Amino acid sequence: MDRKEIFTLTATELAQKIREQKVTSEEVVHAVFENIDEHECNIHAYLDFWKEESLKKARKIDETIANRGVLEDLSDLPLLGVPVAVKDNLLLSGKKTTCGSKMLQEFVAPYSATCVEKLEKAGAIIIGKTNMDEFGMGASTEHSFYGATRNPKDPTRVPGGSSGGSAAAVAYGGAFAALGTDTGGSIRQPAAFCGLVGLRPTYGSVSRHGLTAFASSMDAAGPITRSTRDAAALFNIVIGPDEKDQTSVSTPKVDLEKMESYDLCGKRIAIPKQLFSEETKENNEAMSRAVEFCRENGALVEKIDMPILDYAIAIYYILSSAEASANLSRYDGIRYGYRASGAEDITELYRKTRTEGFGKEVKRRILLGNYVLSSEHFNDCYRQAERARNMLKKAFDEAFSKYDLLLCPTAPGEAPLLGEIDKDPLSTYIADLCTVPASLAGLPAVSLPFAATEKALPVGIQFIGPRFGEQEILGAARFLEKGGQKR
Amino acid sequence: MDRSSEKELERIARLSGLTLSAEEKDILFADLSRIVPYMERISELDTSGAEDAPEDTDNEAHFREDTEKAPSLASEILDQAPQAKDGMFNVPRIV
Repeated sequence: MDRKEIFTLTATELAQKIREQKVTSEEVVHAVFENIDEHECNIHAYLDFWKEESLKKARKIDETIANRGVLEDLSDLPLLGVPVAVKDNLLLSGKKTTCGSKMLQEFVAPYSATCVEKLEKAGAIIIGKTNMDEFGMGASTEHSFYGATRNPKDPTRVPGGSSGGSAAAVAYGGAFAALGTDTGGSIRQPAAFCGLVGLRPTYGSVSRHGLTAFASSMDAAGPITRSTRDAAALFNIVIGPDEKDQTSVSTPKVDLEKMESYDLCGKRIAIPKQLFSEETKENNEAMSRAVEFCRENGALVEKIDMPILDYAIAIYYILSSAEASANLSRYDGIRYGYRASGAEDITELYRKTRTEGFGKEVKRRILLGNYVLSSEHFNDCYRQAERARNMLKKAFDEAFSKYDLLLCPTAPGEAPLLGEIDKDPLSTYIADLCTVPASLAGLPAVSLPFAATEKALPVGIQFIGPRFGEQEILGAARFLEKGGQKR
Repeated sequence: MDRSSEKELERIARLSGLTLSAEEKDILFADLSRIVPYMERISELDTSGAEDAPEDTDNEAHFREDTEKAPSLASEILDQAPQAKDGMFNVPRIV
């Protein structure tokens, strides 16, 4: 099987071929590293990767298969021998986890994140850690201490963020699939900009143990893949309650056969008018085509009014910054991570360490967080935002009592040029409008590519479902993927 | 951010354990002077009747067995400390 053929397969199909000895895991890992050798110097998707170690693991898998023959049961090892990348805020035991920050430049994880452990137990070979905006704060992967990642679809543009490294690696064939994390859209938006599928699972369905905290009430790990089927397969692997994360809950698996036979006929789909501006041409085309496609296939599509969404950005940036300022107070130069030199007392040590260790965007969020948490502003900002968040959750509950799915763009337009985003932080925050509502309400949402702009850049659309509605949103996404993509 | 007060920025920076250079102060003050009023729009929203605390409708508290577990990672975790001595974190003089 040649390199081109390998990349026509889904991750689970590839595992099956490896098991049937139609291709070896070693060949697959080689194919992925050929792509890395070719593109990495230009794209910079990875912060670290391990070629020899990955090949060694692959050879061991191949030997086991050769010795035992074709293994019948696939259910335990659905990713056997498949190379997968992991965002650098997810711990992998014995490997560096920098979170894109100088603060954690030398930090080596003493244990693995539960979701990463689950991928390895499913037979995946973790081949490297991907670049990201520092501690997940950013939408372009330009806010990494280790340099920006470029978009493989157009290297003059950003790949999105904060999981831009994961998206870029999958987009250029530097991994078969990747894990990202999504606090306010960090899986879905880079997936959209790189022409991939990105799934933010229901809050709590994937354990956060070993996911470096940004905003704990919204952080979620999930897959970035080339297809909806891979997204579902990875979702099924990483979900499940975990005694090490008190917010983790038992979550139903996606039935892949049901997902394949999903039919939009008779489905009720709502488009919140606050999340879709017809002025943006790229979105207009993607959304118009998606709506037309849904209607042609028997779905009812209606616009609805959700006025609380006008406040979604404010709610999100108040709450996420408040949580970030609390979570990041652990970086003090004492227990792990960077420690500044030359401090005479412990207060100076804290201050020097944090001043030298954090980047610009992280400092901005910490300051914003401590501002809204300070006694003068706590009631007007933080508490008000908590109340507004509950109103937003109720507005979604009401919408889902009448509709099966919500549909909207993933981002306001195509991937911006490098350097464009940093000029105006407020506009960058506002550009998260379509992704933050699902994050605030803890709802599952999937982004899939549905149109290309005139410059041939991908644009994503997004299905949002009720809690534990992954079966519904992935079914709908698969239906559109099969029938509606411009190829 | 109190729009007229750079002192407020300095106070928040101090609370945050950060020292800002003059250049950083200028940039952050300009950024936050736009960001904060946008966020403060939230105060105009009528939230009467809405709950204060996060409503976790179906996340129940989980309990685990009250059994002793070996602290197997203690030395690995201490290995990550910038400075450690005799099995403890080493810090500058406090008093």
